[in-house]
Amino acid sequence: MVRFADQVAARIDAVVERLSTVVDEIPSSGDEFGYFGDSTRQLLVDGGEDDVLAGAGYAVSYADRGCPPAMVWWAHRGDSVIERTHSVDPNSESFYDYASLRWFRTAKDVGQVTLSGPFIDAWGADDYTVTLSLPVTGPTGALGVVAADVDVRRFIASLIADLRGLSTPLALVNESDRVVVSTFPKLSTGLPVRPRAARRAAEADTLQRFPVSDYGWSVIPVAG
Amino acid sequence: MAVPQTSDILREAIFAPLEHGGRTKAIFDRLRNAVALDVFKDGEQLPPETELAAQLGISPVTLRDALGLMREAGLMETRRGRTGGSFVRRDGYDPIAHGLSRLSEMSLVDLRDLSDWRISITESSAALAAERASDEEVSGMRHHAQTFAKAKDSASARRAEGRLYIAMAAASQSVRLTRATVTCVIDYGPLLSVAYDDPKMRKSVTRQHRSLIEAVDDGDRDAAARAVRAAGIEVAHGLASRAVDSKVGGAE
Repeated sequence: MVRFADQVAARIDAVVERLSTVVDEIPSSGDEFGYFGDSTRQLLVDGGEDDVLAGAGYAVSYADRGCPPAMVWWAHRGDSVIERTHSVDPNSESFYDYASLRWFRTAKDVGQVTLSGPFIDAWGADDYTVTLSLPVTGPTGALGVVAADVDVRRFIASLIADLRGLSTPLALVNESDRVVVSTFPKLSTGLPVRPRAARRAAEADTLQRFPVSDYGWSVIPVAG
Repeated sequence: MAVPQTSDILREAIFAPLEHGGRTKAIFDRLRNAVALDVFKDGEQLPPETELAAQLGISPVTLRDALGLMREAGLMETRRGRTGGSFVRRDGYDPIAHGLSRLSEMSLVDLRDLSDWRISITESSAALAAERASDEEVSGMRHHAQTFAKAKDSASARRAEGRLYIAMAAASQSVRLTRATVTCVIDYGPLLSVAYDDPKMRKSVTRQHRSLIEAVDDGDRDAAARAVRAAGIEVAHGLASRAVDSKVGGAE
């Protein structure tokens, strides 16, 4: 289980490393939005057709800066990289309220690499999503968040390949005990390890956990 | 470079080819929904008529008629000349007028059927969310329910509830239910503008939302489904009464 946890961590590290190259250089000029828009697009272009990333982009923090919500996002579509627009008007029906989502909020508030998901990203990717995000800080404080979605189906397939040959029934879970992947057919991606109703009763039996680096995910044994 | 794209489901719902009859009206409905849902920004220019007609699988004549209806509704303006074309006027959109016109066109059976569909989707989402939602998702739902409770007009109530139901569907961990909920928010939205124009209706639905959130938090799938169903039925009955009134030329 420790080995699997390490394999997962290595896969995540690889994405974080790519994403970090974008944040390493912060433009001295004022146009950081344009700058990160270009560099996140380049990140996807460099990934090529079999990229582990599904999309990437940059969003600015608006709640405390008095500026309107703004976000630029790129996605692979076939062999090209296209721009995905999001509704950033809070008065619109389809407003993509990214400031309330973990990938943006936690990255900005905690100021660290944040791993989110699997979650259904309505008005965003419109599908199951695992997102890695990094805050961007300028000389005057938090500027915004650079983020990338991993291709969930491809990511999970690669984790299942890592799981092959393991005899202990186990689950990889996120910070709220939601299954990322497991060897137990009933625990498919997205399900909680236990239903809400059973959650409190089960708090007593503290599970054995093998953390996936410091990303908040862990590998746990499950009772077959 | 490719054209920027909004949410795919939204695009599909708006641009899917039409199967049969009443095309001018159907295209008008689609375009009006697109304005209502902010698919088009204020002042945005529509693609050239021939291109848009081909995309929708209709004749340019039908499209031109639909654009005529858009102009009459104040949702679009056409400018001539080199920089001419059809431009969206979002400030011309009146949600309640939109809802009332939808309501007057629908038969009571269609209204009941659409309401049943909405209730079924929300019931299923609520039951699954009660089993599967994380604490973070429950607090997100609670936030939207509180926004609904504080809403002073139908537009903000409708918006808050749309967000609540989409958040609940996402918490149910079903991509299909989430997509169905988004489509439902699009289709039922104009009617909700009418239903939630009534403060008594908002107050009553606020109570049901409260029970819903409590039930989801407690992991009680039956109580969650019951609460959301009660809210949906109340809205559906309210709308049916409005529809009857407008058809017999009664109130309003």
